[in-house]
Amino acid sequence: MTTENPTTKKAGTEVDLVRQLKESLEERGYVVSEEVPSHGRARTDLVLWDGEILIGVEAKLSDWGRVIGQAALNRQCVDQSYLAMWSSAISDVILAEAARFGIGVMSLGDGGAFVLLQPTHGGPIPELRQKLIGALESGLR
Amino acid sequence: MRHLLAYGNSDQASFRNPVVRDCFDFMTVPGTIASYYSDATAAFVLTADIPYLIDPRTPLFQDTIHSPRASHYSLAEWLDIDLEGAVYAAGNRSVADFPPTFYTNHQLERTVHKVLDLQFSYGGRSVEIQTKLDRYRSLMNEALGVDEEEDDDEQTVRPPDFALAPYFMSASLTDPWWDVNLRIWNLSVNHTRGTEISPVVAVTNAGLLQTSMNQVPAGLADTQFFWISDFDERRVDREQLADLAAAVSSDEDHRWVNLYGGFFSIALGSIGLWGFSNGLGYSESRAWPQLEATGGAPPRYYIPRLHTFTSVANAQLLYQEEPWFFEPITQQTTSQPIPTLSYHELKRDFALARQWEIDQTQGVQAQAIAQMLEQERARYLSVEPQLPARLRLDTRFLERWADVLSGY
Repeated sequence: MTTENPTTKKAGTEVDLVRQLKESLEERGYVVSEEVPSHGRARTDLVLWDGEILIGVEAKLSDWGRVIGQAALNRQCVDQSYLAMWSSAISDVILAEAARFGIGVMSLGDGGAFVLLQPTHGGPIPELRQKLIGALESGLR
Repeated sequence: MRHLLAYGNSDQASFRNPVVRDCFDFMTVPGTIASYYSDATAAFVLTADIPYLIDPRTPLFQDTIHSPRASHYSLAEWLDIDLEGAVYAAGNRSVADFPPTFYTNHQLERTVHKVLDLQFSYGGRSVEIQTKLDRYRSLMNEALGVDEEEDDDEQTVRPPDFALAPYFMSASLTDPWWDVNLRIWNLSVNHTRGTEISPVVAVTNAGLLQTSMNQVPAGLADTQFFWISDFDERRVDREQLADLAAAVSSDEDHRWVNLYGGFFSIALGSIGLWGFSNGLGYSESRAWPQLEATGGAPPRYYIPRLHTFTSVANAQLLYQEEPWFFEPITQQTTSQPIPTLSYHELKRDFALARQWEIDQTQGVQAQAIAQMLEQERARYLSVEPQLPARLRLDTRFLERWADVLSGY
């Protein structure tokens, strides 16, 4: 995933965060889908699919405990699972916790999306991964 | 310990599943379903060849009904209650009031006799619904792999195993609704089949249960039921659990059944509780007056060695950390990832877990069950640090259960 230098905080709602993140990722050529049904009743904020690697991204303004939980569960259905927050909201504690559960961390600042921590490959459940890809490819989301 | 499993609209396929059918003793049919889907439910129940009972659900007609639905009207007919008249009396505001004064002696006599006669004669409904009966029998035989020609029809006239008297929720022994219950029981005692009628004690708190149970008059069936409103065994405090335990251990003369219970009720089998009821993957507690507001089982997973539900994804995460919590089920089924289980497979696994819980505690003393719970809690605490903080389960109820049980 492309990296750029993170800059300062951007204020806004979680909707702003997801929208700007999506735009930033699309500018770099990713096909990004929003609110994709992923496992159980859950929907993943953003899913990136390039025909080979399936990436899930959960975005939150501040509740990092919750977003770590969501991203950890996403590992059951995507190859790489990220959490995304405004760059100013990310702390060493978040990075350490994310690393512990194999979750990547993406920050969003004035320079766009920036990967602070690479995820480990999740080894998703094949049926769930395939179902998610099927939903993306059929445009059902 | 007898397990009564409540039948819901979405449960037909599960109740035809031979695995599920081996996991309970009686099917509890809600009066709302029995009256609203009258022929279809009768056909299903009478061809299921499963012991059953019908819960008259009379608290639906206690105090105020807002915007009565079609199912209210059909149940009202079963109870010989003039719902249309009550709506009219309330000024046609889509509201119907049923204060204690509505239940005059005359009204109660009609209600008691109507609903009990319907229960006693339920097996005879097979004559009226022969076509539906044939269709449901065919579906059941197909599910169970029974040859149509080998099937005999004798079971289709099976009456309910228990006939439940009407009942209403009481907040105290001075509550006017308590007086309504007393009058129902007196009418039941004087019914020609009084000794076959099971009273239902419904109270708003566990502290009231023992005194209320003691007030049930002699001359009714030995099998008696209770419901404590909103008694979520995993959520209530130690004192309420202790009150329930004290109540069920105090009466050795009757067979008490908890209408809404989970594993704590199973454990109470060791100190005298005869049976408990719940839904297939839900309805281990129920609050009055929200009685009408429950739907089907949510798609979630029951962890047998933690005696609690969680989301399928969270269950899978815990399974990856410590499969031991799931072994009672995974040793009986294919090792399919939990999030890939279908809705009916989730229900099947719940039924298997429940049966395993009953088997594990059968003939076991309360203190030994308490030790088992303490071990399960300790094992969870050893795994918990491996899980994201927000995905950790609150298992403190295991300690509360163990604490109460260890006193017996």
